[in-house]
Amino acid sequence: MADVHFKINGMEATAPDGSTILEAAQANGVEIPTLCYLKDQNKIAACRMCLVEVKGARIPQAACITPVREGMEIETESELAKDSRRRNLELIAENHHLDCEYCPNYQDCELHALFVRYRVDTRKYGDFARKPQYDETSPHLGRDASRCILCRRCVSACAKQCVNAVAVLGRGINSEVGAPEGLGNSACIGCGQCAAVCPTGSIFVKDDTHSVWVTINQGKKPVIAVVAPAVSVALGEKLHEQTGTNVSGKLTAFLHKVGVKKVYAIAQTDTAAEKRKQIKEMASEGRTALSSDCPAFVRYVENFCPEFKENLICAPSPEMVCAKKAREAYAKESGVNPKDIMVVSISSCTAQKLECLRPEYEGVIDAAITTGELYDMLHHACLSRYTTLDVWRKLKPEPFDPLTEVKEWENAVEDDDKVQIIPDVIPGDLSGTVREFTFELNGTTLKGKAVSGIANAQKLLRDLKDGHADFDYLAVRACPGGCVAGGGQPKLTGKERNFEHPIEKRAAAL
Amino acid sequence: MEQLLLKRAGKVNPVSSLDYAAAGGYEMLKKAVADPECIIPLVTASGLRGRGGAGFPTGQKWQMVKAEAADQKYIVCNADEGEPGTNKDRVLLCKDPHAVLEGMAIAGLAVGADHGVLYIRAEYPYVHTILRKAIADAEAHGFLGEKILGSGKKFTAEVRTGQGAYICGEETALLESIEGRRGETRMKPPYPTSAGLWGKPTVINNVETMASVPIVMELGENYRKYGTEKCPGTKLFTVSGHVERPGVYEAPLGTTIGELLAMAGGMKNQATLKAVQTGGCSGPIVGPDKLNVPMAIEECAAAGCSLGTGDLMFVDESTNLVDLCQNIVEFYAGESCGKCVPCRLGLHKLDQMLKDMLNGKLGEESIDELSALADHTSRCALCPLGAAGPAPLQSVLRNFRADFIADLPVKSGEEYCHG
Repeated sequence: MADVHFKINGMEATAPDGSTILEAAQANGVEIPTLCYLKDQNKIAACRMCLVEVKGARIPQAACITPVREGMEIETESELAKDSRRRNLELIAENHHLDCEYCPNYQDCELHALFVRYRVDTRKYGDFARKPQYDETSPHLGRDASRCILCRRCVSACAKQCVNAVAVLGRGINSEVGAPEGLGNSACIGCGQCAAVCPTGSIFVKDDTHSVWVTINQGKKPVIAVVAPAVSVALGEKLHEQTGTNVSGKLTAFLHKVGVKKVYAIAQTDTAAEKRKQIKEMASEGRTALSSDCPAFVRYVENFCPEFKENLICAPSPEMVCAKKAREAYAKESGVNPKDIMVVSISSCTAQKLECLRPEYEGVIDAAITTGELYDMLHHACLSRYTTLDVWRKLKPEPFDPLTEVKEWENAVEDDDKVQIIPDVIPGDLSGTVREFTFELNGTTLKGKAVSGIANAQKLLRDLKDGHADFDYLAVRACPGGCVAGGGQPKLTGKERNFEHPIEKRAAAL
Repeated sequence: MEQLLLKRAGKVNPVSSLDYAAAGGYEMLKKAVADPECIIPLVTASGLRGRGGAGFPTGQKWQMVKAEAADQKYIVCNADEGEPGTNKDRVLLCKDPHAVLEGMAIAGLAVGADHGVLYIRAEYPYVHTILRKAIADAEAHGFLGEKILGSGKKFTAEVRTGQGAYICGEETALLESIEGRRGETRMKPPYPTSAGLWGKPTVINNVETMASVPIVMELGENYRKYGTEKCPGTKLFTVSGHVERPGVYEAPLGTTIGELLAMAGGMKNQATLKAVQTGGCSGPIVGPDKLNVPMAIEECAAAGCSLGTGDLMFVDESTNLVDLCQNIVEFYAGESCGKCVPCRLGLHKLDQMLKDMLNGKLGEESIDELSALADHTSRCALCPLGAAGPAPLQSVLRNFRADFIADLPVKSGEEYCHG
């Protein structure tokens, strides 16, 4: 593609034809602030934060949607551009509940960062903060509409997941984002993508670390943890490690240090046996098996395509399986009654908080916490973010505790000698790649497909519905990009999401 | 004065297509059916411009849709007459709906669209009935339907109703509404002429434009006898406010504000004219010194007025300008879709500040802040609604600053904004 030449803040610059001013600026090292913009997802020019002055234009232009043209002269920090942003921020501040100290997103707030960057007088129009407006209906996600700035990122994320549980209601000053009957009574599948993209703390992952601390501090029950791989590759981002650094060693050391007796890694093999058995059964009946590794996908099938419920592999997620194994292994090893052990599952998944509550899995996981909550634990254990870093640097990596196989689960294995893993690795990119693979089951070669993101899975499910599916097994992770992009991962800012490919970097570190 | 648009109004049974035909209607449809290629050159030659406010040349718009290659095209008639103080489309739809339907069918033949949607605001329930009856009647008598006038050409029409949102009068929000979504403006481009209703090339014209189509088909270049050089033809003007006979008047474009005031019988009880709002609810408010400004797009713009939908609201000395501005701003704040920050929050804040001024909480010292916020809102909003909302207030602060201050209940209020 040909390049266009333009001037930005007085500097000569070039960018590929067809780029927006925002992209062109970023490519030339000029950062234009955004709040609502999410690449390929939310291009609505609503927050008016990226307004820039273009020579010859009557009014400031929104950089996120305006294409850069040959000879354009752009000023991103002119007085008019800054004044426009500042005024928008003042207006937002008046209608935003400034309870920053209590806000779950207080450390990563993109709005607060802009308040600071543009020296916004947040109480210009007086000190009448909005009253909190909680939606408590959902067990995994919390919501406070009074912190919402209506950037609609969550709406676009939910729409991208084909769920549309949250939408804009009302108009004018009465507009609000939400589910009419509350999130808990909506078709929400629990993926948490809405919380992951929220620039403020309006939609947030509920904090379940309290019970963990209480149990650890009381010291009556031993606490053990199972950790998903996606956690190890994302936690470091909060601790000044490069994106995509695997920090499983330090993570284990930290958990041991605060009093977690054993830290086990969740592995692919955990569900392999059951999977193979059920895929074989379904294949013999000519049915396509759907992976149940992802609790959000299971909920999607249940809520949106119940006709495929029978195709779901009847097994819990690897976290569940590993937790069950870990409880038994530790009970055997220590002689403690399995019921008196607290098993904490640490993963990137918000849907797991819902899975734990299913009656069939009662008592398997005592607390499901996310990577973000794990960071909070680290932070609270270390008193402040400055000492957190200090403590983190001094931690000596420790290996995961070995998990000895428990007999009971091996009974599920059919005549195969060895449990083979089905190579259903999810492609760790956001472009909707469908990974095709084959695997052997009792001498027959079966075809499988692996995909992330409900929108991409939906296409394959449609094929299945229409009867021209060319696969015997479908592995899906609801979150676009897979578990590394889970709703419970450390928050990524819009800028990181749009320009720094963090999801791909995390996936590469797996 | 010669009437073109209103010549049949009140003289024929509005629902009956045969009555309309007997009064000379559907003749131009016959001509269009016989030679669809002649339509666009005739409309272009007449110089007809859209009557919804923007004044885009109708012939050019049709040509753009005609040039698109698509299996399906649509005609949409915008009857979402939401502008407070505008009643011209209602008059046409009530009294001469077949002229609008004929215009739509001609547009359909011109661009190759076989279906038209008449989107009408919810607040005109009785007009919905008239239109549905008129369409059924026209189809029963073969003027519309599968075979227009016995030819092989098809044009069907349907009525869709809004749900009471001002923004749905904006063409892309209107399309969203027809498609069953929340009425919010779309990103342009693509323009509706290439991707409109259901993603197909679509002609969207105002009711009055559609009703003018049979007239310009008949007159061709002679249409230019009326109006100004750049804005030919006649137009309906809604005159309201403190005048003797408020109502809808037809006059050639270029008629001055003063002449229109005279047509409406002058100011009520010979009161003194204080201000006049031109072009609709979002139009500028100007003083009596503009009475000689001709109501035509270019002339109005040059004089700081606006033709808009052809509204004129005259107010007398008894009017409080702060109150007037607050009323207008409150309307726009309520109609904001809530998408972009300046419109959702800026208009609301302006409304609050004006209310505080009326309540005596704020005084003269807040006017600069009010003015700056109004400028910010209109400059930074995403769509025309946010840009239009503060415009009357801005014009008052520009043209009547002294009167605005005089109308404040208290001159010095409490400090509102620190810093």
